[in-house]
Amino acid sequence: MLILAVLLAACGSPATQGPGQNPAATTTPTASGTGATPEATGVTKLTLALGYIPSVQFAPFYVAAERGYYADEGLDVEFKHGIEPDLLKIVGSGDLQYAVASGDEMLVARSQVVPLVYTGAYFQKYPVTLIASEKSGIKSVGDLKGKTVGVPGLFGATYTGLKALLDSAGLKEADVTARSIGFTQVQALQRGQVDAVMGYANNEPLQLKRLGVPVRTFPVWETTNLVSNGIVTNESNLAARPDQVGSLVRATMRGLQETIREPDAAFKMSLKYAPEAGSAENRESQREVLNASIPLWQSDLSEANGAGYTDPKAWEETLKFLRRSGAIKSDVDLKAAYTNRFVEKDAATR
Amino acid sequence: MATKAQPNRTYAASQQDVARPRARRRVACSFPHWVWPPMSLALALLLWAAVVRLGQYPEYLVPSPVRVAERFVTAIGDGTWWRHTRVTLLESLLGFGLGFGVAVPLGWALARSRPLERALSPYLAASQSMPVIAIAPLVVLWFGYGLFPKVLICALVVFFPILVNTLVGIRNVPRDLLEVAQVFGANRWQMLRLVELPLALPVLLGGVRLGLTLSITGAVVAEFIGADVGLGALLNISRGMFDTPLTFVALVTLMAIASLLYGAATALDNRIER
Repeated sequence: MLILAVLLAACGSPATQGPGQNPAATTTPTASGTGATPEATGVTKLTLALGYIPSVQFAPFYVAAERGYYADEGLDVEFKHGIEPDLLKIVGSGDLQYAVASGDEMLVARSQVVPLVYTGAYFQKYPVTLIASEKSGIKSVGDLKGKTVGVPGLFGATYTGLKALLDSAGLKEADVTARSIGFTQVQALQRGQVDAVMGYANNEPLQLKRLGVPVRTFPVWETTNLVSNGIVTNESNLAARPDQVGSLVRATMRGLQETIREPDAAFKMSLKYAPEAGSAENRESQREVLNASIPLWQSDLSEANGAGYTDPKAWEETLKFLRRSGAIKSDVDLKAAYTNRFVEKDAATR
Repeated sequence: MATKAQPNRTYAASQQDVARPRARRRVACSFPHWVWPPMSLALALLLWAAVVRLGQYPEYLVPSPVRVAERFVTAIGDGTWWRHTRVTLLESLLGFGLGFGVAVPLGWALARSRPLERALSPYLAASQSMPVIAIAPLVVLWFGYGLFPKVLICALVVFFPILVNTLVGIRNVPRDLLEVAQVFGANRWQMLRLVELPLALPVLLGGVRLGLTLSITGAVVAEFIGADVGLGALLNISRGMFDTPLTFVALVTLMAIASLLYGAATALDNRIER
C-alpha cells in the first residue's frame, strides 16, 4: 500500500525543478478583471494555501479578492485549505507556490531543507496564549510549575507557544504536565480537567468568556517575539517570479489594511468564503473572532515600516528559541529565510 | 489495509477465510513457500529505492528506504520507538478485547432471536456509516484524555465485523445438528459450547483477523485526536517537525503490527482447524 502510494507520488511532477520550469502558474492573455492597472496585460491564476478551514480569520485575503486588489495586480487567486506542515512541504516541492504559515514553522521546515522563503507577515503578533482558569490560582507564567496544561498535541503553534512561555519564565518542560487534549481546550478548562490550556487569543478566550468561565490569559507575544503567520513561497518561485510574489504580498496587505479600517464590510465579504460563520448561531461569535484578530494584525513596527513587515530581531529571537528548545538542530541562514523587500509603507494608499 | 468495515466485505472475507486452507495447495512450485514473502518485500524495497533515486525526491517528501532504516535505528536507540509502539499495541489489544467481548454475545443473541435482530440490525448497520474520525473527538470529550477513550474507539471499530461474523457463523450452524443435540439432552450452555461455537468458529475467526487489524486503525485515529504517546501521536509530532523519515518509521511499524496480529490470528485459526 505504501509502495503504491510512493509510486503514485512518482507520477506527479518531479520536485527538483529549476526556476522558470514550473507550469503551476499560467498566464492567459485575456483582458484583466476589475480595476486593472494600465500596465497589466493578462491575468495570472495562482493558488494560495491558507491553513485550517475557511474562516473569518482569513478576512484580509477575502477582502483582497472581493475588493479587486488581486485583480489590480493582475492576479486571480484561488484559496485552498489544509494542514500547515503538509502545505509547506507541497510548497517546498514546487507543486504549489504559496501558503500561509507561521515563521517558526517555516524555520523548522527550512532546517529540514524545505526551500521556503517568508515574504510578508499577516499576523504581527504570535496569536497563541496561555489561558488559565481563575480558580487554578495561576497569576503568572511562573505559577505554572507543577500544573497541568492542555495542548491540542505535542506539535504546532500552541505547543511552540507553551515552550516559549515556559522558557521566558525560566521553567523547563518537565516542570509542568503538558497533556494532549486535542481541540477540546474550552471543555477541558470549563470542567476543570486541566489547570490551563494553550489556545488562540482570538478564539478560545472568547468562547470561555461566553460560557461564563473566568480566565486569565498570558499571550506569548508579551514575552517572546516569535514571527507569526505570513505568506510563504519557495525559493525557485521567488527567483523566477519576484514580481508575482510582490503583487500577491502587496494586494494581500491592502486587504489587511482595508479589513482593519472596515471590519463590518470585511466580515460580510468573508461570509462568501466561510458561509457557516454567517448562520444565526455563529454570527455573533465569529464577529468577535474578527474583532479580536484585528489587534493581532497590527504592531508599531508594521505601522512604521508598512503592513507585512517582520522585525529582523524577531527572526533572530525565533531561531534562537527554536534552537534552544531542540526543534531546530542545524543552523538556518536567516538571510535566505525571509525578505521584507515586498513590504511597502504606502501599500494601503495605492 | 482495510480502513472501514463494511458488512459485505466482512462476510466475503470470512467466506474466503473458510475456503482458504483447501485452496492453498493449488500452486505447485519448486521453491519452499517461505521464500515468497521476503522476495516480494525485497522487490518492493528495490522499487521504492529506485523511485526515490530516479525522481530525485527530497527527503521531506519521500525518504529512501535506507534513510527510513537509519531513522528506525535512531528511534529504537533513543527509546522513541518503543515508547510510542507499546501504547498503540496496548490500546488496540484492549480495544479488541472490549469489542470482541461485546460483539460475540450480541451476535449470538441476534442469531438466535429474530425479533431482536429485526429491532437492532437496521441501526447497527446504519451506525457503520459514521466515520470513526467523526466520533472520536466526541468520545474524547465525553470520556476524557486517558487510556479509556482510546480503547473505546478501538472497540467501536472492531465491534461490527466481529458482530457480523458471529451472527453469520452461528446462523449457519445446521438446524438438524442442534436438534440432534437437543434430543441427546444438551442444555443451552452445552449446545453453545459443544455445537454452536465449534461450528461457527471458522467464520468467527475471520472476524477476529479483520478486527485485530482494524483495531490498529482505531488506535491511530484516537491518538490523532489527542494523545502524547502512541504511533498516531508520533505521526502528528513527526509531521510538525517535518521529520518525514520518522513518519515512515511510524507507518512501517503500524503495518508490521497489523501483519503480526493478522499472522497470529491465522496461526490460531490453523491450529484450531487442524
